[in-house]
Amino acid sequence: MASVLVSRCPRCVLRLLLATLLIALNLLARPAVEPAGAADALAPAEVAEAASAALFEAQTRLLAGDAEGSAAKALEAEQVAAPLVAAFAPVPEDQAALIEALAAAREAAAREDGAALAAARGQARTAMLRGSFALTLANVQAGDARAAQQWLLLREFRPATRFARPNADGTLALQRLTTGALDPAAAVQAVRADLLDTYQAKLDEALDAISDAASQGYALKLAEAGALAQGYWHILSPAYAGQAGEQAGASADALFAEIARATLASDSGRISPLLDRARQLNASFRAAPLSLEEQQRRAGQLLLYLSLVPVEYGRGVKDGAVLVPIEVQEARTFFDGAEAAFRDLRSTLQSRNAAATERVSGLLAQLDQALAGTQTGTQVADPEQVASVASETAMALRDLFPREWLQRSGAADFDVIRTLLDQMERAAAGRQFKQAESARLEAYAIFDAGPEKRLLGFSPRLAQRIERLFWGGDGSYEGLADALARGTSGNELRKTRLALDDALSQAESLLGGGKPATGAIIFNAATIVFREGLEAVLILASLLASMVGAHRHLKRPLVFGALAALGASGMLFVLARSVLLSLARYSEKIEAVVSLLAISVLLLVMNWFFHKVYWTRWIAQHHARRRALIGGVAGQMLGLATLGFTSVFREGAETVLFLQALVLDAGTATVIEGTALGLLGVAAIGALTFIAQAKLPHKKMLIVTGLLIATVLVTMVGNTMHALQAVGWAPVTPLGEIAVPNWANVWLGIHATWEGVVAQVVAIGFVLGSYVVAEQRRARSRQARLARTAVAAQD
Amino acid sequence: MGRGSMRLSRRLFARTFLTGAGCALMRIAPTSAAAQDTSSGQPDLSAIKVYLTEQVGQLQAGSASLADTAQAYYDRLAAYHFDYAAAWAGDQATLVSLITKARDEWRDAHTAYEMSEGLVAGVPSLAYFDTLLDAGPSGTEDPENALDWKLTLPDGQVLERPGNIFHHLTEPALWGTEASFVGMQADLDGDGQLRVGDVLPEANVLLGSVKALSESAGRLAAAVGDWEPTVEDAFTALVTMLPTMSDYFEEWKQSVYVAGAQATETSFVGQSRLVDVYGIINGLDVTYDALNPVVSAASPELSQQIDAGFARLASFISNLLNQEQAGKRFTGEEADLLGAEAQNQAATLAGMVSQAIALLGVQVGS
Repeated sequence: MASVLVSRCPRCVLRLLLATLLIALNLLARPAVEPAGAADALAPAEVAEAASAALFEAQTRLLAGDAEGSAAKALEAEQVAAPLVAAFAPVPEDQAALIEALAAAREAAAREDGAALAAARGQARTAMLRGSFALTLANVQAGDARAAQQWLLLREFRPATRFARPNADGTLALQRLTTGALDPAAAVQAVRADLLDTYQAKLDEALDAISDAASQGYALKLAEAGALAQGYWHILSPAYAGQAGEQAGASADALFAEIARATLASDSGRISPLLDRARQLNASFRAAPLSLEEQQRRAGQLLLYLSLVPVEYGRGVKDGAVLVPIEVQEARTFFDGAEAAFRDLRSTLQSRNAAATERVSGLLAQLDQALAGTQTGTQVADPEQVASVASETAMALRDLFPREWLQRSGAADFDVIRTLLDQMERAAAGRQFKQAESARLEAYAIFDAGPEKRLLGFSPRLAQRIERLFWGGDGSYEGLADALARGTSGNELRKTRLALDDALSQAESLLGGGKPATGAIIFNAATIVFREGLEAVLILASLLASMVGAHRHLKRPLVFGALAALGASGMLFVLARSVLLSLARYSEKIEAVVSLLAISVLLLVMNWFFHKVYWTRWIAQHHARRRALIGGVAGQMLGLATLGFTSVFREGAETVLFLQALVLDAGTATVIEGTALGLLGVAAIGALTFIAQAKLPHKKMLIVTGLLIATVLVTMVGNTMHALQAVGWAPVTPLGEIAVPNWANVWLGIHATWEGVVAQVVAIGFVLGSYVVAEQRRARSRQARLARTAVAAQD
Repeated sequence: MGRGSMRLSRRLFARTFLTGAGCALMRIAPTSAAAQDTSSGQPDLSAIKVYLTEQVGQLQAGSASLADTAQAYYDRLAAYHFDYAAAWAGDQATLVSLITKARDEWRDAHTAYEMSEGLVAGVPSLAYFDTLLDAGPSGTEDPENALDWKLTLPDGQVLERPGNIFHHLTEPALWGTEASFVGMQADLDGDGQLRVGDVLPEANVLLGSVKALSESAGRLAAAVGDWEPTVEDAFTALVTMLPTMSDYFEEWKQSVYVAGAQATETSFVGQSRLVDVYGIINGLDVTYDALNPVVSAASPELSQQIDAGFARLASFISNLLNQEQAGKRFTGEEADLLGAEAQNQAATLAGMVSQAIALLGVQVGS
């Protein structure tokens, strides 16, 4: 069997032989000492890998009882590593450590001491990493990007998790250094942060390996992990001493030296307390402190993931039983994301307020325990309890976070959206379309509640493209909502997902290009308020202008309705963002329902208008009809109040969501300035409409009013159809190649679907129809009057 | 080059010329297949699809043969009204021959799947099949993550959320590691002792599960036919699958291949977990070959290092597999050490691939 398998990879063997041959030739041709910068010919990473492989081979041979072979391999490692040792000349401390480790390996193999050989291998490995770290930075500092790139290849990587792959900040920084897009000082900072972050994670991994090996009684693994822990610590040590002071640094160095001794001696009694101290120490600082932007991003992730835990959990658990296991699993996924973000922020938070940080840590542990109990089936936690702990944790975090962390860049939104879209794809791949749709909606809600509002101020076209990709589709890409409704899980879904990823990345880069200026925020807020308020004010001003004389009393319910909607919108504004987020998930549906209600009321009003305009004695003659339409005096009042309320609230609620997003960017005061400006514009338009109509002769005023309301109706019908399509309550048939300009989309509610256009045409038809019917009835009425007059004259 | 390698080369030679532009040729000269498509500026990823199509085709053929054999076994038992003792007494040689044949066919089908697993499990649109065929837990084991499917057996019995078809159904049925899937204990190899695998499989479960395997293999083949590899998919497969080595080695450590009679792992009896690991790495190596020109254009050094990393890891695993199949039994500590080394190499590879992804600005799912 093996031969069959290996026959499929003869190239691997050939390549390995070739690599070994090249290294051997390299060794023969190379002078004894290379300058550190001449890493091109050296290929440090390959030399290091070859030496490490030889040491590993020495270990396995010794384990298999081949002492002679082991000694030969240890010697080979020393020879293979010689060019690297020479290249370490500019970093004598690391050079000495590497020489010492290689010699220790040779001696350990010779005396058949497996544990010492394992420890020496760990020391050699970390000595190589430390030397490479120093030489990479030295070359970056000297502006030699090419040499730095070669040295940077000799490194390790942070273990991948479900939420993060190893980052590539160092690699990208060197690329930018090469092109001149980054100066050496900034590149040093980026590379240093990347590597320190990596080795701090590797230290954690080594401490876990010590714990595992001690419990399993594996002496070799124990010795190697102890040496690795000490080696990684040596890389981090200067950063720690810089933050905690020389004395604390020396004490920490001693702790890790003690760990290395205890693990080499397999002294399990000493290992456990030393491990505890080492773990605490490593958690207490961050070797590569996060930038403010990264802190904001982690803080945003932490709060968002935390807010999603009870949402998912509540969907999965009911009456003490797990109903939808995948939802509980998703709750766990979000919790893990929150926990990872907390880990990254913990040392900073600890220095701000140790007690509060411990409290948050305890609350997270409670949440972890609750989820674990449900997942293992030992004890299914009550969703309310999970929600309560999550909420308490979020409150504690908000109190604990520095103010500037809460004014985040929004990058966390994009991280969470991507996580949710990953979940959507996984669920769809498992044919669990309900869960996939739920994840899609959640992702959309976050986009809708956060980035979209800001994006509309920068690139409405991109915002609409993302919106279309989430819902009904864009060009050749099927919308995710439609694809999931059809039960798509393969390439089609993936295709849209990639297009969406691309659009989201563009949006992220657009929004992350720096904090928008205060002026821009004020302008955006004012535009949003003006645009959203225009429809409402046109209806209100027109109606109010028409309510004169005997109908003056009709103004009151309309104004009350509008004021109530303003109050409700205001209340929405002061609600917490988490509540808005939970509403945002349903925002499309809410918009669809409220819009339908608004249209119904508006249709009644339209009818009323035409009758009023063309039937001069409408109140007297058509009292019964009016009663049927708006249900008598009480009904009339209620109808007008509803019209006032829905006209304002449907715009108000949406405006509030938009403004909340801007608040996160620039603070409440700036947004209120913009809002005030927008309201001023709306009020001016309202007043102009009111005054103009008041000056017009009564009949003309009513005609102008009717036309204005008809325009609003057609716009509203277009937008409502779009909302219905977005929530899947109406079919979507694209217009094809016909492109609708953005202004028509925003101001006239024209969207590029046949259903939307037909609905608007029907609305126009309704208006014209009402006019024609009214005309005919008026003509008939006139004829009847004339006939009556003629009969009376004859009499 | 030892005798084993000479034998490999001869096999490879025969295979290459027998199958024309088959997979083996691509493995020797990947750059010819993985050349940049100059007309579109995109890398030519067709080699990945050719490789996957071939492996899945072998899975389909292997599972169809296995279904025929399971049907013959079922019919044999049916002739005795499923009285296993009577069938064993009256038709021992036929039963032994059928079971041996079925196990060989299972190994062929499983090997073909493992050679494709790196891609099937790593590509989001195909990953469902990995859960169904090879990786998903059962509802009893892990209610949270078990795939929601049911298996209806020929007698009408329904198994709810039974887990993956290879390791929760067909393998335990064929080797008798799940008591309820055993028709009767029987000394198949005639050594006078009843050891692991000395069983007559319960014919109803065997036929039902093997048919499900064959049907799912067909669906996978259709899905692979519809799939068009993208750079994003290829990179996603690499970064998703490379970091999984430690889990596989842990299972290997717990399996009969390392732990022997103390094994706590009931799967990986028919074939060592190392076969899976080798297959995954091989599939990923083919994938990287196709991407190599793109990475090389961005950073020749990085590309060279990734290439060498794959060669080193594949060689490391195949060396272990060769030793194991030559009869070496690794101790728990050795297995742990080897697993840690493989994981380190894989993690480094995954890290380097992540650097390539960043340099190229590729969007990769999780």
